[in-house]
Amino acid sequence: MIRPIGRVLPALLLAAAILAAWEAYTRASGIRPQVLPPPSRVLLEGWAFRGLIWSHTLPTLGETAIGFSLAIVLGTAAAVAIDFSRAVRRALYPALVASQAIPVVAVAPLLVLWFGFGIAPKALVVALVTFFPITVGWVDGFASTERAASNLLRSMGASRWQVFRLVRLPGALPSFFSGLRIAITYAVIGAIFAEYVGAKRGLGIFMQLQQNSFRTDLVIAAVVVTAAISVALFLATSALERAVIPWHHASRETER
Amino acid sequence: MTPPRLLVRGIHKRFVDGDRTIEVLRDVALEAGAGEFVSVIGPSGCGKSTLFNIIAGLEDAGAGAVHVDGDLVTGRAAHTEAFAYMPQQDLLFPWRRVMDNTTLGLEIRGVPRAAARARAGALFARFGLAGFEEAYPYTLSGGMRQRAALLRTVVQERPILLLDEPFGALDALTRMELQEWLAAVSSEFGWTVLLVTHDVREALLLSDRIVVLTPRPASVAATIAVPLPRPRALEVLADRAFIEAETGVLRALRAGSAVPVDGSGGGR
Repeated sequence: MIRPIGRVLPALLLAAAILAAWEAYTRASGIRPQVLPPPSRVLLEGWAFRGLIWSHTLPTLGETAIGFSLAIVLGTAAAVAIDFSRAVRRALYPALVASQAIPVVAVAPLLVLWFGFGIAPKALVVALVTFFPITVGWVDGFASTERAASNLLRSMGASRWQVFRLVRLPGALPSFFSGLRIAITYAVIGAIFAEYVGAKRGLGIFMQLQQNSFRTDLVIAAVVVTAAISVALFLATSALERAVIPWHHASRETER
Repeated sequence: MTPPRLLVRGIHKRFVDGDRTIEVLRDVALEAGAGEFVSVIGPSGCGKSTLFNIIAGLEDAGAGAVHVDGDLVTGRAAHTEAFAYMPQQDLLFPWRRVMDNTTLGLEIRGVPRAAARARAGALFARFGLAGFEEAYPYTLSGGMRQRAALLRTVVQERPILLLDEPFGALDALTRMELQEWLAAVSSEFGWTVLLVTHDVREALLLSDRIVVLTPRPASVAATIAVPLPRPRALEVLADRAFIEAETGVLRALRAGSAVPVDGSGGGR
């Protein structure tokens, strides 16, 4: 096992090298900061405007949380319904796949038109882009249950619900978490995209406003915040996974 | 006269695959008295597992009947209650500790948790699993996993144990160890066991009687008694009665076989 510092070192070195090259280029070329600000300026100006950026970050986080929770509830409900009924599977699966073919660019303005400038259209966009990986994660996980395991439980006199609760559900958790990790990376982007279309507050509208006043440094600062949130949420999901299904990682590591 | 613990009569089974009909079982009959150890042996793919699923009540037979202690159980809700079933893979759930795996059947039946744990816990030592109650299955060796799976089976206290090639996936040494152990423990507890295997020596070491099946469609080629006291240790392999029984089983297997038995040929 490598020590944590050793594991993150390559990533830090690469980031530092890119930033150094970027800084050197902007200074040597004399390019206007409205076009490409040096990273030092992004950092300083971002810090100077930290209160404003934070006040725009909170709504984005709220939308992400509500939309993602909605996606987990709907995705799980859809997956369970699909698992219990072949008719539901036939009816729902094509609709689920089609929902992913909807261009969010086109739908987001419509959602704003229907639901106003409040939190609802943003949460819906987040849910729209995240519930599919969650649903598929569950459905694939349920389907991976061995027939022999179901037979064993039936031989013990288990009802269909007991088979689901005792084998299919816990057995599907690793697959569910894989879907969850994919979904969480889309979640923040979804919220910001919806804000671009129309919002009072939020990182998306912040970026648009700064862009219009040629504050490229603050746009980039907001992008950095966005990326940091996504990474943090991804790490939190992984940590949650390890806490909920510790047996999964342990048994995988012994098999290697 | 008391009826036998298990009486299986006239089992037929066909599968329809497109426009083809595959006959798997043809008039299979067998029986086991209380405390008897009976093995079912047959060539690969002859339908042993199908027969087992039918006896266990997991699959419907085309025709035939399963009686337990004189009562017809086929097609009844009570069917599964007569049998505790151990499949080929151990199927220990990785998310449950060993103890929670072994109490699974009791939990399904609604036995209170403390009572279930007490019942299973009482068996851990005899099953060589003492100290592993709270371990996760991935920490167990192959032999221990198989013993945990057997514990999960017997703790249900059903009248008849159905063991479907329980040692098939183990290495030869572990398998021999477990066969000897199962011989001892099954006599000690007086279990009524029906064992499916394709290992002739395993059947001979463990069984009172061996039911030899023909290739598909399977029917009973011969039933061979092993006239040696149980439990048997590995030393009986050299016993004259053992060798005679072995010859009988091999002859019955070969007689029903379309290709010469030479020990090769496809595995499972």
